[in-house]
Amino acid sequence: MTTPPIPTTTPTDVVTVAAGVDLGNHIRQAVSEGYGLVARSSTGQARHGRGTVSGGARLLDLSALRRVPLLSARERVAIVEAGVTYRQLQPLLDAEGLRLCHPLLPPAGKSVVASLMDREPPMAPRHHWDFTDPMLCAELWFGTGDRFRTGSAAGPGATLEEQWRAGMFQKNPLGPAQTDLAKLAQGAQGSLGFATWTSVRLELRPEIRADLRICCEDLSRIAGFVAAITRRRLGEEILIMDRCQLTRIAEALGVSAGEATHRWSLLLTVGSLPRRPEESMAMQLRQIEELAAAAGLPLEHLAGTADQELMMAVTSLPELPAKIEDWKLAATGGCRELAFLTTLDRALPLVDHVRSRWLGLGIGEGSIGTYLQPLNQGRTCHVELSAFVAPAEASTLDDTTAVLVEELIDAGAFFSRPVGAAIAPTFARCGDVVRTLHKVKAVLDPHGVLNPGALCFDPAIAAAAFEEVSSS
Amino acid sequence: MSLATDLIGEPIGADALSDLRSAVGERWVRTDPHVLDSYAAQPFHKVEVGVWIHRPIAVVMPGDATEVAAVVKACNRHHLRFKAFSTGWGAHAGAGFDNVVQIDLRRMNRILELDIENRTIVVEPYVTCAQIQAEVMRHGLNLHIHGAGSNCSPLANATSHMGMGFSSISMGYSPRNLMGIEWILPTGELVQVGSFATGAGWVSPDGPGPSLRGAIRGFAGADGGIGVFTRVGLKLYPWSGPAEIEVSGGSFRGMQVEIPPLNGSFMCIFSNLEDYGDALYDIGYAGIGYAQFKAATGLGLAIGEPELFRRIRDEPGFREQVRAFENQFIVIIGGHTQEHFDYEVAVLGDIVSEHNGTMNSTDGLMATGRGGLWWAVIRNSIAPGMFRPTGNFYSSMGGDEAIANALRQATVGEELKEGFIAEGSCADDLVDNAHTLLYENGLYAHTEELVLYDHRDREQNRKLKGLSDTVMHSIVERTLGGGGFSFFAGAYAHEVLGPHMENYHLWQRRLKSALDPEDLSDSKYFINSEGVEAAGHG
Repeated sequence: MTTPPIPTTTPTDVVTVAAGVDLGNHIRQAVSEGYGLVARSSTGQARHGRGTVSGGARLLDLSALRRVPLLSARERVAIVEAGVTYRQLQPLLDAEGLRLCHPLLPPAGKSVVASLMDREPPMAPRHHWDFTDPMLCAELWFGTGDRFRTGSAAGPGATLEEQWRAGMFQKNPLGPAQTDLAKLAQGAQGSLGFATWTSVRLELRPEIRADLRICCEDLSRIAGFVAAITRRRLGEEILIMDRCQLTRIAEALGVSAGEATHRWSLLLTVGSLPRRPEESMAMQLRQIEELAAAAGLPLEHLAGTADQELMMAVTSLPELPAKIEDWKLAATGGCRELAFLTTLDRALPLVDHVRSRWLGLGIGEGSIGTYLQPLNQGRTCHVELSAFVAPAEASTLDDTTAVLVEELIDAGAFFSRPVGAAIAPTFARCGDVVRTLHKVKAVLDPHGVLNPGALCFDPAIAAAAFEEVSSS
Repeated sequence: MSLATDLIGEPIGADALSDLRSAVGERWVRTDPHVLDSYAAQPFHKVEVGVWIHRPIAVVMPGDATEVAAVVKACNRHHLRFKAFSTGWGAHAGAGFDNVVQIDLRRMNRILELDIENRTIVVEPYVTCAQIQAEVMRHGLNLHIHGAGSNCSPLANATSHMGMGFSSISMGYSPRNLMGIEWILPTGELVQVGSFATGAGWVSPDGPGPSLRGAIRGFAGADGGIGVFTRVGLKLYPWSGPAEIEVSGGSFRGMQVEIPPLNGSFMCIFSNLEDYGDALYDIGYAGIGYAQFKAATGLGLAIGEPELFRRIRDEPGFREQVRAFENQFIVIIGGHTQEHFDYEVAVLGDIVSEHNGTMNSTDGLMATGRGGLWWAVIRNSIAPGMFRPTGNFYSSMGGDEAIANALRQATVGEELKEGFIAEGSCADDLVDNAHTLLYENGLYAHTEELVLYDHRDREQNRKLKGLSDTVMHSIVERTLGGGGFSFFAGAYAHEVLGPHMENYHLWQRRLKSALDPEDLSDSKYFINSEGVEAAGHG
């Protein structure tokens, strides 16, 4: 098996891509002159060091692509260009009574498109029908310089305007036809295609909202309750945090940390449905209260309490305090994160394992935050552990991450979106996948110019994975 | 009726036969002509002239993924095309060419895992939707059943075909319900797609990193053209009925079912297409409904009472009376509590009323008795009835998009079908039978213009390809959603549709070549590899 070519001849520089510019020209130039390209749509410090230039590649800065070509309340859909951030989009949606399900407190400069292409976990599991959501269609650019619009945006209808006139609104996320190139590009960290826009599914903003909380020492009881409410698609945002995570967020946002005295806090918002809003709230709340009572869990209504401010901040897109671009970096200027998927009922041993390892390395109890995000209508759980450490301390963690990831994989964690030191041990477990992805890479990026060496396209990581295949 | 001689290839060679027997055991390799012929009788959606599809050169029945991989490798060694078969339904499940080894997966019929808490099930290819329902309803769970019905394999559908069904409004589209896929590549290597690849169980179908789901399928599946799928994880959804339902009477006529508490079935009728469409949008916004679809008027009668329908179809005034009910749909409500059920029924009533419609129970519809239609929808046992009126049917349109576009597909589809009926390409079913349903709280919609015909009627059989081509070109010329069911027309459809859809066919062909360089995974309903000539269409 051959690994993709990795261009080596180039200077590092940054090119800002202006609106209307054909990205294909940049790609074709890179192919012709033999250098690699990295695209970045967000601005500010990247959490995982991604979007930086390495190995001599040129950085294409897509953050100037800031139009919203389509926003339709009737169709509950928008098209956003790569540089549009969550905070830029939100006021436009508010004006139409709409909302986009988003991840927990994205950094100020976080691009919606970048977040979606990375399958970042949204907070409202009831609207998360599949892992690609809320992304629908995308405009992609492959390593040949070709543009490709996915899903129903592919046509028929040569232009978006022509499609709109025919009642097509870039809503069907699948295909076109019998392959799904968006799914290949999503999660590929720019190594199989760059995205210049995506269409997104929008939800109606509820007229009435209730903020609920359950504090508990026993995560298994919370897991049972979450399984019960997500089975019925009750609740909008549903997320679980430990004390440290809540405290760190509160400190960063300048709000009260509240009175969470237990290890775990389940934060749950309930929104009215568009029809018979009061009746729909009563109907949902009654079910939630009954299910909480059946689980023996204390359900708190936060309306009018001091704790509601934090709840509102966590579940929305609050203005960040001056000079703070990312709450995770607010206190120490650094943070190390481990994120993986499992189910909520299997999460605790994995969480405790990471905590135990990090505590053993001298990270303080109050510096390890845990965030559990039910996804996929409650079938899956995103687990995110953060070590809020100064940059100087971070290297201690980095040295041990690969081993820790190995241990977590052995214990059943799935690194769906591996970054940094998690990449090598993850792909080493699935040489069959790596071998197939290399065949795909040869089609979509035959010259290897897109984010050279990313993920399993790093020659050393690929070699280890192929070794695993041949020895199994 | 005997198989046409031009559809019978050469007998399989002794070396190849020996290799296949080594892969699965002698007992599970069959070359008897009468067995092979039975696989050639799959005339649904066969757009070429003639009743039979190609007779396979051999049928092998592997018992697990390892045996499937061994069979595929044997086919590669002997340069034989192969085609997987689960529960079948049409020409796309059978051999598309001469000298194809049919891999019949019927021995792989086990439910492997059931995770009730996390609503996930893991199944093999020959497990049917009905089997799963029987297992999971006792745990208050259900699954999305695709259009072909509960007698079919959800694995085959989710990995390899389309995926719309009555429950799409609350359970989505089949490939979006995947939680992981075990895949035998066309070259015989086994690939585990999703979280179970690293031993994490069935929590995600995507990653690590890029999702190979995108190489396996898109809106449509490859229909056997990209390898064999031997195991999948699937999502389950809530069910508020009992573990078992008492059913009496026939499958259609007079079926009696006691609809359990928290469940109900309603037909909503509107006086015009605009009100009908606006009501569909409002149902989507409201977030209600367990199942929803348009119950085509003429088609419903034809399925329920085919003899009666044929007798009275041309009676004076009958057509006008039936067509007066064409702007209607059925909504099944399933409540988690009585209050929830009452709420959804009330909201449905509000919407229907605001759009000047009427709302009634479906008891007795389509010649069913009390509760019969409700159960037929939950069970999805209606689809096989499509063969009752004329022996066969063809689906057209189906490029899923916004409700506005789905309604245009219905209007254009009706216009086209008027012409098909007039020229004798298909049966007169009173024209209106565009089958429209909503996906995922109404975000987008599906329209299916169904055409009833008799494949044993030489004239209709001959005209089917023309009908199929007319719809395909209309989709392009009038901007109707996407390729939809035109992919049923076989690999050549891509040459028509691809240039109007981002040249997707070029990328699809390159991926096929990368994964199947010898073009051995039967590409009749997918696409041939680059540099490999398709063996002809028709």
